[in-house]
Amino acid sequence: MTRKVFVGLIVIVFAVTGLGLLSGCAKKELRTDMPAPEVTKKEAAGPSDAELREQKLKEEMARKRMVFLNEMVNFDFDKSDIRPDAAEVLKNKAAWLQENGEVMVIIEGHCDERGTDAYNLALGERRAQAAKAFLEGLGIAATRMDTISYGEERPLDPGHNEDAWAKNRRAQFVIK
Amino acid sequence: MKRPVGFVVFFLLTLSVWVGPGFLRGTAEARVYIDINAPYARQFPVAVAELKPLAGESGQEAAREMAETIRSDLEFSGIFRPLDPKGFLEDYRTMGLTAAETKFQAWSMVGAEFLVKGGYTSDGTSFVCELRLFDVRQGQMLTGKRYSGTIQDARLMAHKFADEIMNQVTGEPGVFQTKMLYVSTETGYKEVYLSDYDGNAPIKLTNYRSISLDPAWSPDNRQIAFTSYKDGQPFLYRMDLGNRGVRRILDRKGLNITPAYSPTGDQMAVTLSPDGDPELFLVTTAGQVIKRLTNSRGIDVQPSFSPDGTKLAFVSRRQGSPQIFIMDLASGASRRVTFEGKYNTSPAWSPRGDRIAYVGMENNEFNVFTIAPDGSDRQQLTWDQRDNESPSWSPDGRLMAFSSTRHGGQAIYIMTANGGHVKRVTKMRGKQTSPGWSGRLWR
Repeated sequence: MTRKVFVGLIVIVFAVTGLGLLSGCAKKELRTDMPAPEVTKKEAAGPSDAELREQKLKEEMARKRMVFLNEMVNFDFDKSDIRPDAAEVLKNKAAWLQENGEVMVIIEGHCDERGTDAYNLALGERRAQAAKAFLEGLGIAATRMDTISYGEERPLDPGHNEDAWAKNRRAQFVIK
Repeated sequence: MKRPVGFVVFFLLTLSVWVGPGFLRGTAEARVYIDINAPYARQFPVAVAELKPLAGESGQEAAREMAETIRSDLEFSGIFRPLDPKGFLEDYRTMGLTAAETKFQAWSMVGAEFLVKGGYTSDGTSFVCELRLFDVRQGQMLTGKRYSGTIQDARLMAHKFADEIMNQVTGEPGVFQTKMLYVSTETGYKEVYLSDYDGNAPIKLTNYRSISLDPAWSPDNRQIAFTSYKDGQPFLYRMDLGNRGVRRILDRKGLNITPAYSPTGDQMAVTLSPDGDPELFLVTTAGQVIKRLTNSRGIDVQPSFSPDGTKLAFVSRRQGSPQIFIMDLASGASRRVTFEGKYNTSPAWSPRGDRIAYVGMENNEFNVFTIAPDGSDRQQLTWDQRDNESPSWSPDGRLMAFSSTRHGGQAIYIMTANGGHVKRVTKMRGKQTSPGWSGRLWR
């Protein structure tokens, strides 16, 4: 082998292993075919591919769980019917609840600050119940879902404007 | 709502004729009868002099507080306009306390039509006082009372005499010895408080560091019922005001809210939601369900009994928007009362039986209204003063407590039954809401 070719091979090896490390598991096959002793020695000291995969899965699950908790079901003023956008959110929630069959939830019903405290407690209850009924319709067992109304007592946004009010009119999910 | 000038003139003429006979004859027994529904009835200027010390130096603070309390009570009534004592011409330290010794002209000159004078003695612990009400124009004493007790009783004595002044002038005693329940976030949490009707001497009744709401008086004023999340969900509790003992009386799944004692004292109307839909139920004061009152799709909430206990005003969304309805308890039949506005809640039936106060929302603003039980004669009591909610009547039906955000925060205020003479009651930190005015019975 000429010196040039040998050097070229080394360069290629480094470049490819470099790319391989950067792009993760997909390049695994390439790495095992290439003789690059120093680089593979470093790899063996760090997390294995299986561990990396598991880590990615855990991150994905945590992300989905955060979405489940943070995505709110919103309502129109003085209404407890499920709007089309709310229906979409609930479908996502149903999917997550089916993927996580052992999870129990509490569905909280909330209102914006306008209106009487007592009336809003009743409206919050209707909203929580509406969300629950929708999920039952999608196959989630009623026994997995408790409800509670907080009326206007626990706003998400303390503002006194339409934006804040729209955010506060919600059904919010809490994992038991 | 404006009324034509002609009507005002006519009304004032009618009023003076009504009032006239007593004044024209100028007898000491003259009674002035005020029509509480008259929106333009004028206020009577009253001079409440500082109390005269009859012996020694003790008790000055209490005496000052007494005079101030009488002025404040009379101002709350909406019937009197207390005059500024700084302008008074008779020296309270040397003035005489009888009609014969009183220079009525001096009082006339400052505009007074009624005069309150009194004297006191105190040894620092005990406190004895004599209070007198005079009709300035006639130069006659209308009533005199003597009270004895401790210095701590001075404020109560003032309230008693103010009640007596109302009795003389209107034919009915005042409500100045009554109490007020309310919810305050003074500590950062919604807790239930109790104070004098005018906000004095507040006592924190609950200490749950949770959310406690909607306190309601029993007719004998010995118990209150309220909702609290202290055990994790909205349950209904009862507190004995004598020993402050608390009992959980309703803990059904869902809501256990809006307690309203029936005038008979042994039953309550409440809102429960065992099937998910808020409905009204009749329960015993121990929390046993007697019967279900409503059965409509949609929210039914916030019951308020008529004073004779035969009917229940409540909020229902059964026709598509929250409106006030009345149910006849014997037949179970309900009819709608409010037809103006798309959002009417918080009914409170006047102890006089002839009006129902409620809150109506228009353009995101909340105002207090009253309406006759047959749905006629709707009157707006608050305007352009931000949000005004949760009306609660005084036991004589002449005044109304309510919560308002007019000054920026949220506090309890009192106004007359036709929306006049608004005066602030609570002045503590945080927000105060949900006033509940007691009855007259108070130990």
